[in-house]
Amino acid sequence: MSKEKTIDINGVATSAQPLTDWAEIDRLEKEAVKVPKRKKHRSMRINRIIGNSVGQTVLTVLGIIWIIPLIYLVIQSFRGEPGAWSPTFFPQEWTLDNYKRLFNETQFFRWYGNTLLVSVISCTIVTVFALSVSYAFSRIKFKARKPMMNVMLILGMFPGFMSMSAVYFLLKILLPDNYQSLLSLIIVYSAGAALNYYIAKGFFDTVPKSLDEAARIDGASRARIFWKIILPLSKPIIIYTILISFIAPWCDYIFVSFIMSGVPDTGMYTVSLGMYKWLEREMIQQYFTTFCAAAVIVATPITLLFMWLQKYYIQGVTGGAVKG
Amino acid sequence: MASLSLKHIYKVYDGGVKAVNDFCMEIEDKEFIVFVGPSGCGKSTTLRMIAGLEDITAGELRIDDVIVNDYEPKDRNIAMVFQNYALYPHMSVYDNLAFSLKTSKIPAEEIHEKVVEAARILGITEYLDRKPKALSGGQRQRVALGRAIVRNPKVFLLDEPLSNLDAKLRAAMRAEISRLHEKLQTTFIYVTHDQVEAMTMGTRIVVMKAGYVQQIDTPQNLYKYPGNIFVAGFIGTPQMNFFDGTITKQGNNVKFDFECGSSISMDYSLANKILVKFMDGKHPVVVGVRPDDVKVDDGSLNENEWAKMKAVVSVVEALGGETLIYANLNTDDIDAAEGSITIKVPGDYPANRGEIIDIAINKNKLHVFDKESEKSIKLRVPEVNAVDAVVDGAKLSFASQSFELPKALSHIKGAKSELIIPTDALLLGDGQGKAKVEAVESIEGKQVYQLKVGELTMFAVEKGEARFSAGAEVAFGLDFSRVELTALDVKPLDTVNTLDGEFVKVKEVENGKKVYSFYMEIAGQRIASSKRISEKLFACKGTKIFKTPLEYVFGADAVAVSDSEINGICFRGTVSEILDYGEKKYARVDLGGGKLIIVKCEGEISGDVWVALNRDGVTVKDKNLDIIIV
Repeated sequence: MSKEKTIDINGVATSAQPLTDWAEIDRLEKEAVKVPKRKKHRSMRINRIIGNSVGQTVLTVLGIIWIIPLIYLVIQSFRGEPGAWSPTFFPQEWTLDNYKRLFNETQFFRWYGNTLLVSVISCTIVTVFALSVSYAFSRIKFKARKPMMNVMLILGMFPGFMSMSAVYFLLKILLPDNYQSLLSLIIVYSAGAALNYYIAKGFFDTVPKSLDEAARIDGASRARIFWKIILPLSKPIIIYTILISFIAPWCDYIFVSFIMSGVPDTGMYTVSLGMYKWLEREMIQQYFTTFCAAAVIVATPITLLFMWLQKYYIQGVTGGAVKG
Repeated sequence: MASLSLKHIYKVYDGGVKAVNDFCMEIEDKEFIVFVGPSGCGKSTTLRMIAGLEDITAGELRIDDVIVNDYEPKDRNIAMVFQNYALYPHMSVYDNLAFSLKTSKIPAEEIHEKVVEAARILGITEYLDRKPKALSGGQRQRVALGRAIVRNPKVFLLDEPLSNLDAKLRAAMRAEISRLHEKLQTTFIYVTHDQVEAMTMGTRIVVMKAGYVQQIDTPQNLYKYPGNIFVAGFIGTPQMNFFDGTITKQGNNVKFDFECGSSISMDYSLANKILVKFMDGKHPVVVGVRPDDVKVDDGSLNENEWAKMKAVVSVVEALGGETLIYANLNTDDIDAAEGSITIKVPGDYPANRGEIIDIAINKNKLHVFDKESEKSIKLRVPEVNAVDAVVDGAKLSFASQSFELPKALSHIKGAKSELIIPTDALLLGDGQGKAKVEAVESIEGKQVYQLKVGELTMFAVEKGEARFSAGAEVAFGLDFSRVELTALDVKPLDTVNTLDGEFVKVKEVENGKKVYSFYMEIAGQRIASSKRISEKLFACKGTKIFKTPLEYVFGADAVAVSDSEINGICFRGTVSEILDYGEKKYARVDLGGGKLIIVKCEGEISGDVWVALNRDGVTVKDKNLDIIIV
């Protein structure tokens, strides 16, 4: 029985001589078990749990921070006490008077109608134009295609308000008698429609070209291909484009305030302009809670729209982004 | 039901990349044509040009004798099946089938009838309400075919329709498409990269590589008579065996020496279609042998027909019904690259690696290629005869025949030389030579006569019906303008004129109105352009044509000497040389500045002459892109 056996941790002899001493083997095996194992990597499951909980915690905190102003706004819209500032987060007196006041004492619903009109019309125009332009850029090869796309992309990088004074004078030329009107706003919001081609073009690029070609062979015109084949396959990007082009005029303040500045007829205002007036120093004490109620009414339709369509919205953005 | 004609079709992309080069083909009604080749060979591009989905850079595409280059796809009366099916995903199968009919505003009842009929033919009636997503690959493919069928097109175009299917389904659909072709009796053009599909389905196959057509022929002919190494290797599984080597002809014996050390000897009668100039023992050639034409020798094979040699077995693949033996002719080095040979034997063949076996190669079935140009040099229709000739005085003699030399060759002095006669320059029926017809073979509308001239075997090729039968004694003459005497520096006469030039626009005032006239500027002289030429040049290059260097090519028979100037289509030149070949007579005319053209002429001419150009016989090339525009 040789003592120079070399045995590895699994208890298998590597020596040339056969092992016959079973007790010895058992002992060695026990020793082998006792050998401290190398520290293993933490299991993937634990890693995931830790990672997730850290992430969830951070997101929860951020979510709370983010939602507090919204809750505050909603709560304030039900506050009975007057004034801009209240010492308590929750009102002492709950009331619906603020909403009633919107109906009875202000032009809010006039403004609301104006905004809706401008938004719906420009949204329609922008959607049709943006999708058509994107489709053309995606499918038709013409000489100026690349240069046009680049120019439009670069133009889109400048913030819109840089062009404000130019737009003002252009409108004066275009509508000399009527440049401070809702029509002006519609023109301003829809004129840049084609600049939004980028994401939709990316989406159309992912629709196989052989569909167009099959339809061309089937005798369909470009227009028929676009309306009957491509658009029915592009719901996500249509919805994305509608949402984006509706929200822009719905929420815009800068252009309205600039174009409508000095208009005596407050009935021409849109919600953002009209409501902003309530926040001016001399009005805020009287109108703050009304402002909150109005804000809730403004935010409600768009929030509902988003919640309903968010599935498509995400598909639209990411679908376009794959090949963007 | 339509015939197609593709003439000098090119596809050149903006960067100057040529996807398709000089594609010429005539497709008969009801043919099943297969374009086959590795990816990127231009087969799909050609198909898409036929469909109208790609512009044709240059060339002429006719469907039923109508030039359709500028027609929209829908107006060409074609249907196409795409590789990815291209079914409209948001429509039901029924609507997919009906889409094209609805577009062309056909009454709903008729649409319904056609859709149901197409669905019945393809067995998809029960899926008519489903969306494409709910179908399997094979079913989708059938819907795609159905969409083509309902249109009742003149031509079916299929772009790799089976490559997305699994192997078993593919075989079934292959048969299905062949049956459909039978049933519909329409012209089919089918693109694939799979040579098995091509061989099993096509009535004719177009083999393509890197934008060039390699060979157009029936599957059987492609297999038996591949035109070059690429076609030989591409068609047929397992692949053809290739051996580098040389060929030496000594008397009546021809010997093939392979680089791996083996050799094959055979009688000249088995090798007489191989171009003689490659039998000098110096030209590197590639010899191809199909695995089917190699046998394992059991001693019973005839030595005259079978070349016997030894090979060492490397790998044996038993496939059940047949066995593939991978062996090497080089018995010292089992894994040498040179000399490896695949042998296909029926049934089982037990052999071990390293075992040396006796094999035999069929001498009749050797394929021989020029290593440099990769083209076949064992032609089905022989191109030239090469004989030893003697020029003595004004006579040329070979094989105890004697011919009087024409005036144009009367300057050559007596000497021995190899005489090369193109097979169609050996004119049967009349002349000073005598020959006996040994055999007549009809190949692709041509008659190949095997002749016994003295002791020599020669070939003559004619178009049309056979005029002589085997055993007949015929007289023959030679077209001396086309023969070559290698040692005496006599070359065949080049009867093609190739001249650089431009296309120009000239503003002219006619009846007080400004009109533009277009001219071909050739060798400094202006020839009025014809409508055909102008239209094609503009269609291809637009206004860039005026800045493009061009090359004008026309044969000696497209120009004729004229007494006076005719309608601005004449060159002015001076006769510099008369070449009198007896029956044919040519003149070289100097257009000034040393630019010579060759003109076919009759009678005596000299001095300054007008030369009228037949503009229908002119080919115009773009020199920059090297493409034929007209």
